[in-house]
Amino acid sequence: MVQALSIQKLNKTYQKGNVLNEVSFSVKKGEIVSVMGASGAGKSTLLQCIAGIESCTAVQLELDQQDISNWSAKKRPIVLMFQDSLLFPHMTVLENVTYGLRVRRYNKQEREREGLYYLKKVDMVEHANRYPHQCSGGEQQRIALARALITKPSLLLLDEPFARLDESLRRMMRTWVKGVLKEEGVTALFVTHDREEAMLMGDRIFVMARGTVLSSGKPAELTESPENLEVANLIGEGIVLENRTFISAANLSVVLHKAQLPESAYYIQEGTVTHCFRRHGQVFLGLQLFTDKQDVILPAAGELKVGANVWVWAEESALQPLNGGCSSFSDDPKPAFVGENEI
Amino acid sequence: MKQEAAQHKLLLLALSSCFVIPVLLLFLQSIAGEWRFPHLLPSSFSYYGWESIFQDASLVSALWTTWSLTLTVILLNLLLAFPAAKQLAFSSFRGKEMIETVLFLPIFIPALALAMGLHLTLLRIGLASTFWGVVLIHMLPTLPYTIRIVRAGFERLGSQQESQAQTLGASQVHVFFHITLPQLLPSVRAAIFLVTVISLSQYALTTMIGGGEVVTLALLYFPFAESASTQVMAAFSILFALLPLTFLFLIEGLIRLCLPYRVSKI
Repeated sequence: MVQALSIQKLNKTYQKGNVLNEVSFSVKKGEIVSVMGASGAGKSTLLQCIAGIESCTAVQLELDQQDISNWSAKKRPIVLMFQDSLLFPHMTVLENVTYGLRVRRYNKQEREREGLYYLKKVDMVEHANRYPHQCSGGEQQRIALARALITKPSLLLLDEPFARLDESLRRMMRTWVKGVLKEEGVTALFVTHDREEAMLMGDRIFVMARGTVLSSGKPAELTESPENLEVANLIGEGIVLENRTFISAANLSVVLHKAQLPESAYYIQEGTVTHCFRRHGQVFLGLQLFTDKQDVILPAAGELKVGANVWVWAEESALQPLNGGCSSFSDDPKPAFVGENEI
Repeated sequence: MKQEAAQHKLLLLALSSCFVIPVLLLFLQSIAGEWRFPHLLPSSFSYYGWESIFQDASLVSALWTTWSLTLTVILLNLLLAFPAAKQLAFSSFRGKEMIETVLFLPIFIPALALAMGLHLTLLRIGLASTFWGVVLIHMLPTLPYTIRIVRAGFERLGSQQESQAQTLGASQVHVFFHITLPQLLPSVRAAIFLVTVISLSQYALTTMIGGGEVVTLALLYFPFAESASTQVMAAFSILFALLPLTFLFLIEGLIRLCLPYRVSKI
């Protein structure tokens, strides 16, 4: 697949110090990449640097094989969508959506035709002559998306666009926006601090911390086999043992009684049910492990009472060493976290 | 709902009687021939007041000078205040506090004290007793307010809308006329009104720097107040009060003509 965006050693320095350190990655055409990280990781600054709103230095900053490092924000075929919809309050919805075309000197008929087409795409055509303050938060974000798409950008940058929406609307918007972006074949970078959102939106995920990309990969790769401790803590689904080893939740099983533990169980921990919930028909247990003092959410066959004791186990092959540490079992025949009755 | 609407109407009536009735009385006074206590209305009418102020040749020229002076001061104020206010609102740089203080000093230090010093400088550079000298001195008590008002407008607006427009492909000029200015109109209106009122009422500064060569309405107002009849004073006061309104209508008309969006919706 053709590369759309290619970045090599991008740096951004403020007076207080480096915000972005040698960021390097590439994004393929039509790909949606989630950029995930905690607050202050440099995600938003990265988007603003790519959009050209913030200045930065980079060995390479190419979009569609063209060096855009010296292009102004106005010239870059990139649209950035902020956390707030930032609709212009003095313009109608249609005027907002067609603003990018107005800048490009399209005539009124063309603007209106295109504007209505994109408003139809985002199911907002009946709002064309309203003003932004007459629309709800979710509607405003849909209008903002139409305004971004109408200019047919080579790259769309989305900076936590659903952060201000309530949970149920956010969940609905994720799937819907992804559908629209895929339909339009838009290359997009989607910034979020929400793990679930990152996994749902992105074909791939970049995990950021301290101004650099720590790891990248497909959602399942990152959640099940994180490279290092930081990535494991940020996005990994499972438990981290002594900061050196990771066991994916997919490889952990729950039994109610010790006697039910199979012979192949290598990692064994007793824990208690802290909460129990159902999603899409599947029961999940929130567990707290006694010795490791870790919380983990695991699928279960049926509901259990809060406070019930359970046993969690995994086979030896499920233990993955994290980078920067070593496998806990290479030099210690009796690891500390293995249950008291070794199998 | 109905009760609320009635309350609103009552409030509107009370407020308009506070403002409209005095103005109406002033207007009546300007056209009253004889109006003595205890008559509620004048017993005769005459245009003497209006005739006498318009027959005064110096008044027409003062009117023109005041008008062009105030317009120049307004435009210069806006021209200087926009970039300054934007920088103060959005940028952080070394010495920002010092610049802010310097910009607001004319409000804290008596303008007359500053004008004394400036008079010497203006004499040296040949601007004393000229139109531009007076324009410059009128900037002193007006610019700090304009910067303050426009800065508050920028802070309310935030910088993200501008960034958003830029990523949609807009140039700085396009952003200014299509995004920033339409949304800063309330601030612009407030600034224009304040600048007009301050500039119109400058008597001491205009006398000192204008040196009697630049005669504005304020300079004529005081001799009139001493000598002329109440009719003339009333007519003069109305004329004086109408001036800020003409600027407001002029600028408002220009804005509505030039801006591509229905500004009343802001």
